[in-house]
Amino acid sequence: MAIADLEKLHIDPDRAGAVTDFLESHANTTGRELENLQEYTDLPGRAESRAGQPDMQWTLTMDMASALREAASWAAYFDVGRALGLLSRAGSLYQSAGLAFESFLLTIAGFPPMGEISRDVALLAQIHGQADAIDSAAIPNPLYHPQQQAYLLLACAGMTDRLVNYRQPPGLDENPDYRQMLYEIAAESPNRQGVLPFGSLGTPVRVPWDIGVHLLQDDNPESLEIIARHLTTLCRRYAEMMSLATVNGYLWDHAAAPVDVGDIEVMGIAALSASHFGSEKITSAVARLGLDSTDISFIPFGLGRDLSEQSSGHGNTDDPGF
Amino acid sequence: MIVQWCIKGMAFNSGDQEARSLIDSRQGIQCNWWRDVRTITAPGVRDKLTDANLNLHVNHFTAIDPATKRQFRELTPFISLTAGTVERDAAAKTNIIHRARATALWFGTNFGASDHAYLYTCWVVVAPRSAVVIEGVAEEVRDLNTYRRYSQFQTEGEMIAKVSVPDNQIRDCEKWSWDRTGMVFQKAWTYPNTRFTLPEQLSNIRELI
Repeated sequence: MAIADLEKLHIDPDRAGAVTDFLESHANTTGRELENLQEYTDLPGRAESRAGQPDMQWTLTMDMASALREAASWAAYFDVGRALGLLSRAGSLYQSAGLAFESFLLTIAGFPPMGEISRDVALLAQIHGQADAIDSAAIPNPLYHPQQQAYLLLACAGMTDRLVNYRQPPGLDENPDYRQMLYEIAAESPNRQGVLPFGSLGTPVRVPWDIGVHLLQDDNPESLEIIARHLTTLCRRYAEMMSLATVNGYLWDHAAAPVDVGDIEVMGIAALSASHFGSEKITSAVARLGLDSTDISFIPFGLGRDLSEQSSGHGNTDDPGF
Repeated sequence: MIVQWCIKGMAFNSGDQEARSLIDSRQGIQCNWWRDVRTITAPGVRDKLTDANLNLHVNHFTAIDPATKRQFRELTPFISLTAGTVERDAAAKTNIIHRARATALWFGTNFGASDHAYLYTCWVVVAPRSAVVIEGVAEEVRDLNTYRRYSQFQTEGEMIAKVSVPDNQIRDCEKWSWDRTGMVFQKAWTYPNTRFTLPEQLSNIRELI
């Protein structure tokens, strides 16, 4: 089906394979540079050069993560298993760069960092002034950005689904009700009205935030319809962006257009929704809203659903094995 | 004014010799228009450097230009360069950074069709605001491309030089090889330009005498 999606977009599947290989190669090359950077600064007498190292280390780490994330978004069209592996590698790197995006990627890849959920909920509580003792030093700087808070909320919602749906691992049996705690934080957050752009479509951050809130509301019969409505809007916006991007045929045909042909945010939200409600329910809900499975707008939803179905086989673990 | 380091990724049919000759010829990197007509004039440059043509270059590169009945790319007065974007705040909002080398390699490998690429490292002077009609400054492409990801925070590092990048602003040419089986790139060689002028020459700091 996903190869057919590439045809709908008038993208040569060989080109999609080439750009995926290219991006993974670039990530591997950057990884070698990272290793060499570490070896260089470990040499005797090189201590004085360390002052400037964190920036280069951060740049190389982010470059590698960006390339793997983009490679994953292409691979989702023709090899879901490869896409999940690439997402996991990217997620681990975002973690070392201090970005909550890590949790989002690992969760949709089927390797949710369950061991971090207690800390993540505490961080969201601290940021929203709902913790007893606020230790601002413990909050990673990127998490002050509403976008990173939204990724963390979505990831936590997905992780708590795992706690509900799967046998809890040892040690988590007596954990507090994370879903209720998260809901209370999210429902009161100013991000519910947030207008800052989120993701490659520049969606107002209140949209993913509202999706997170409704993924946490087990007793609200309207949550399915509300999330389906958000997803439908996102998917139609995606189709419009792709249509605009195809105008520059030179860049489009060569997989060089500055857009996310595989939109990780929409795919991820679709994956989390499919995991939460079940594939059939969420598919029926978006269909009722007119999302046509033969249209370009359906593509990121379908890719996300594929990710969800394949990643659910990973079980309840936070070890991606990479 | 800002001095911006950039990379131009190129693919050549005849390989290493052609790549080195771009430096040996002392012609710099010329726009397609100049290479097509061979001789350009000052009034011709004025006529070419317009907002409309910049829009065609960025958004309609292969469209037929009604003025010439040819693809715009064949007669563009602009030269696309990549500078990359590496900002912590932008990364926290987008989760993405763009390094110039990755973009240059994709173009230089002819979009993944070739197993090697030639990268020219150069510098250009960029104006703090758009100045399409001024030949001496490059443009930082920002708002023209309405579908561009997150345009208010990052530009994806695309720079547009005008008419040519002078020879003495090109530092060197690097050949990079792509081992697609091993999934890795390696730098094969570097060919320096002995006539290169360091951009520090433009520094606005005056030393005490």
